Amino acid sequence: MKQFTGFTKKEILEQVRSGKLFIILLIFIVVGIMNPAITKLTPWIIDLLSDQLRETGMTIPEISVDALASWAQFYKNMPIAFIAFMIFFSGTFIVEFQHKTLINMITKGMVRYKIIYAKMLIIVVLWTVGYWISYGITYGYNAYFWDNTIVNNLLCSAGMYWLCCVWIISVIPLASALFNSLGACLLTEVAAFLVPYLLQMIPKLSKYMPTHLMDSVNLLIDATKPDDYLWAIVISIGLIIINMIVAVFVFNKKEL
Amino acid sequence: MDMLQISHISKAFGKNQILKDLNICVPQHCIFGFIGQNGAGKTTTMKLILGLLKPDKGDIFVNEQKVQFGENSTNQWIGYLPDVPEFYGFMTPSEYLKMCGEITGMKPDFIKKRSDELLEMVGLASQQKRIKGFSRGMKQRLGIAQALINNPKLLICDEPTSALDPVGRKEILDILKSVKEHTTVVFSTHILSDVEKICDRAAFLHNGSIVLERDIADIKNVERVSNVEIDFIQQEDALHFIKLYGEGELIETNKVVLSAQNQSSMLKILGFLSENQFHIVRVQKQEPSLEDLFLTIIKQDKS
Repeated sequence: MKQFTGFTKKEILEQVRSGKLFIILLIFIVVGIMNPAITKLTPWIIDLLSDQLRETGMTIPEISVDALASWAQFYKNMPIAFIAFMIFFSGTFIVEFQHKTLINMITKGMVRYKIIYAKMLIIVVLWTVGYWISYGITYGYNAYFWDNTIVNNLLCSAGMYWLCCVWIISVIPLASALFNSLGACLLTEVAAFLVPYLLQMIPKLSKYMPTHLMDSVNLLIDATKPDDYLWAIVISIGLIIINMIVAVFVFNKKEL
Repeated sequence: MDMLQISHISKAFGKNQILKDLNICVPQHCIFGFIGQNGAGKTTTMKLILGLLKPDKGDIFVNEQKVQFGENSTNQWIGYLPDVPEFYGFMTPSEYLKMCGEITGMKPDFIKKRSDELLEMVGLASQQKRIKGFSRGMKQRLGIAQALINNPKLLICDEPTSALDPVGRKEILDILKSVKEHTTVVFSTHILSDVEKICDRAAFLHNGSIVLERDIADIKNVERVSNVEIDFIQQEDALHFIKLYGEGELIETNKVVLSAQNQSSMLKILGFLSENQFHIVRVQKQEPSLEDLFLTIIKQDKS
């Protein structure tokens, strides 16, 4: 446990001193504010445009916005924040392999799997904190401007989206243990997402794919039920566990 | 008791055979010089001892416990200084040593005491700045401190002096010498004089196997031959010297080289220069190369 806490403390210090923590939190706060802000500004922008369009003979009906529109923005903007997050953290192992900074740790008797778990803990905690900050800000503004109660299954839907992203994050240690370059690592993560995303187009397979959790936005309008995502949840959790076990196995066999 | 025992180790990277049936025994409290040219397989051997690489054949024992690739239990006995030690640049030396202490399972109060002692020993006690601003020499000294944090039974240093200036080299060698009482030291180098200064025993690694292993006293006793270089003030003198002495080769305008000279012929050259009143800038005896020493020792063994 001492090894794990010692290495975890180092990871926290690194996020703070490198400024990554600050930048990531800033991104999630900005996204959190953007969702209601864009929704709130949309009628005004349309109104501005409609004056110009009217001159060309086009008429645009008046648009009314509500909390649902703002939550729809949340699911549209969150992938941008998540991609930025992945670019920031995909290299966490690769940089250490390339700079050989882990050599001193491993030659001190540091058990290899603890390195993976300590790093994953920090990445998942940062993702969780950032994601729910963004959620909280959007929720707060929506409650102030509109009414969140018109939206169904809000927490359940957001939780599913969070879990889907944790599944993609769990590919980082495995891809890093397999390859020694950041490019290969990022490509593996993209491939890990794309394969189930494409398989999801086959109707019979759709409900088993982890990427199905990204459709949980449909829960907000009652277009689907939480039970429809049960298989995707179970398979996502299973894949996270498998990714972690295989990553440890491959890392233990990796020549450094 | 042998602190380190390497038995019939072979290792290849693809078709490139790096180590062939390597055998080494290092007794306790010995400073063992591991000599070889660049690419001879010194770093590979060290990584095998540390379980960072998987041997194709053979076994390694540290403190009588077998080294298993990928598992790090034998590393609890080892302190390792890589050839280019890399640290987390965002940390200060004391923060780094604290983390190393925690990883090796030391108690917090002992970590503080030991870190202070080591930073004092390597001359970094006053350094409060982050490691990213450190010079190569400072990193090397911090590397030794981190390697010694848990009082290892075996200290492995990979070319610790190769990139340092003479002052830095001396400092590192003095530190290695000072830890001998408690720790067995294995250090690789291609600098002969470093081995002679501090080692008790040395092994020569050549083409992936040990070609020679001797106590350092035996190596020191080998009568070495080396090249002697004489800079004359004028070229006529250089040419005149070659003609009179009957030996030597003009390599630059005023420079003559006499190859394979031993100690007595060196004295003879100096006497000859003085007798004939040659005006010279300097006479320099070149350090024999590793290859020269191999050849001399092997030749001596045969005769």
